[in-house]
Amino acid sequence: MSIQQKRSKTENWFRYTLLDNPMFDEPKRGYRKIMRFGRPARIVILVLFVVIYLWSILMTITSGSDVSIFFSYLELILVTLIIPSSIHGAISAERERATWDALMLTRLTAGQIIIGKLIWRFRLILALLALLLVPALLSRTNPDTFDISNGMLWHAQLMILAWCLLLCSFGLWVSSSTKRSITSLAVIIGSLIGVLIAVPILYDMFCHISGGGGPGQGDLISSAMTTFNPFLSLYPMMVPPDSESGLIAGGLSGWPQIGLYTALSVLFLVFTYWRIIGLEKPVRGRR
Amino acid sequence: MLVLNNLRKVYGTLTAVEGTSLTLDPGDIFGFIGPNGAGKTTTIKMLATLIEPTSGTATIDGIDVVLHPQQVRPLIGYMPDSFGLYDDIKAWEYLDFFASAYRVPKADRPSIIDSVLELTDLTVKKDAYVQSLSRGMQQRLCLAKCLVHDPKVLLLDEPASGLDPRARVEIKGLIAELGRMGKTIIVSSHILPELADFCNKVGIMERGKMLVSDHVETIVRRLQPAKKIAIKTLGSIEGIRAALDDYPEVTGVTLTMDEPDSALVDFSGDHAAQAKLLKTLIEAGYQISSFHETKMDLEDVFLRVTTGSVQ
Repeated sequence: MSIQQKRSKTENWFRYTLLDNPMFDEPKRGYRKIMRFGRPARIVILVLFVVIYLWSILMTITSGSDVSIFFSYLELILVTLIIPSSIHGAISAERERATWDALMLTRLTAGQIIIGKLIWRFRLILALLALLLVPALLSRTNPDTFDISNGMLWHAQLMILAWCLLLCSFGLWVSSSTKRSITSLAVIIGSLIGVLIAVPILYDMFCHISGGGGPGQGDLISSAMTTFNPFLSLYPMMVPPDSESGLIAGGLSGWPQIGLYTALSVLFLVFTYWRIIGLEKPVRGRR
Repeated sequence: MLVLNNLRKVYGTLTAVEGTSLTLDPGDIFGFIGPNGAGKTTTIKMLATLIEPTSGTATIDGIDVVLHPQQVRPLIGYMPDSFGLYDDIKAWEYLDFFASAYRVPKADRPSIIDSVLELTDLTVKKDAYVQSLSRGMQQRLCLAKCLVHDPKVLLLDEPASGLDPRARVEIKGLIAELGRMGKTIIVSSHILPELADFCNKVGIMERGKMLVSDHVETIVRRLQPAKKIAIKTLGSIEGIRAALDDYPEVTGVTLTMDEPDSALVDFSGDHAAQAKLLKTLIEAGYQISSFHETKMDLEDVFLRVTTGSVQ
């Protein structure tokens, strides 16, 4: 292949994956689904949202108290609820409604499908996080110097972003592995409940039952479950460093979580790619 | 344009398609006929690169569908018998989505979408939501989707299934028009009389085997070498029989059991001889109420060739 051809291929890949990817049209359909709700209900929800949002900003400015932890937790809860509900049908719904074959027959590659479905969802999540970041930033801004360089808030945001990426990639993988979107949703929610709630509780009960009186201070498994659970590690990350919490998360500023979530995200994306390649396995130019 | 050479597909102990061979040229409209489970859909899906053949080769425009599926896909338009549509999307957006997926340049898409909508008679429904279209319109929209990237080959699996008679006529006209545009089309259907109207070649499949595959006239001539003339009289046909038996170009006379005044005559003469026979019978005083040539239609061919067994 000549240099010109290679350059053209790269440009085409860039254009059709990141700029002119037909997967970017999906939010339009989601938006129209939402718009099917009755107009009065939409107006009420929108007004409520605007009022609550503006009230929270006002309270933040007037009270002077630090609400960044509250808004960071709000971000975490919302993304943990929104992402599974959005991504569970990314691929399984295509197979369910019999549009997957038509998609496979186009010039879209597996990578372009994955990236396309990931990117538009990430855009929406970034918009949501940016919206909720405003009051958090306001409460952490020094009114005298307008200094917003509180590193822990940014670390927390990075961790939440990495968590979003993990949820998206895990959701994509599950969606590509199931034939029905309801099954995908059940598996994603079940996994989240298992990893975030059930396993720590069961481990704790196991420690008590086995006569240990509960996980000790030096218990690595318990520490790891606490550290890598975003809901448990976010608070110690954002409190001032001289707090009494003494947990690992506060000391390492969230980098272990960011690293683990990112690594797992890459793994799940690779699994998803293999899975989609497997779905079109029948004819892949092999002999 | 399209060549199948001993294409075979085996699922465990079941041979879904057994050594099918076929050659089609641009403009050919090939009717794929067969009972349920004959292997028509499997063959079409192998050509559409959705199923890998067990053995054999298939090439479209010289490109092997198994070795180079990514190169073949832009050349084909595939319409399955049951297809899905996206909700909450307008007709033109649906076509735009697939045009984008097939990498049709953005600047060209509006004009291409307008022309395929016009071809499929859906211009008035351009801004209608897909789920609000009738079944027939959805089928036409799916066909339009197959055309946005201007494929050379169309693979249509039961394109008229579930349609009312008017919609079937419309689809038929559309397929014929696409054939005139030089596209190579494979259509599978159960509705044999319709296939005969626009297919120039047919293939009859049963239990995975292609029993016969050729131009329609060639198949009919093979199965019905002699012309058949249906004669109906006002009186008893027995009286005419003797006269017919003596006629030189008449090679056989079959009485129709359920109609005592009718007979089917095997006739080896041309149209002039046919006219002479009629004149002779009338001059002999026989009261002929009906005299016409009957040809085997596709249904007759199908019933003659197949056994009706399934696998």
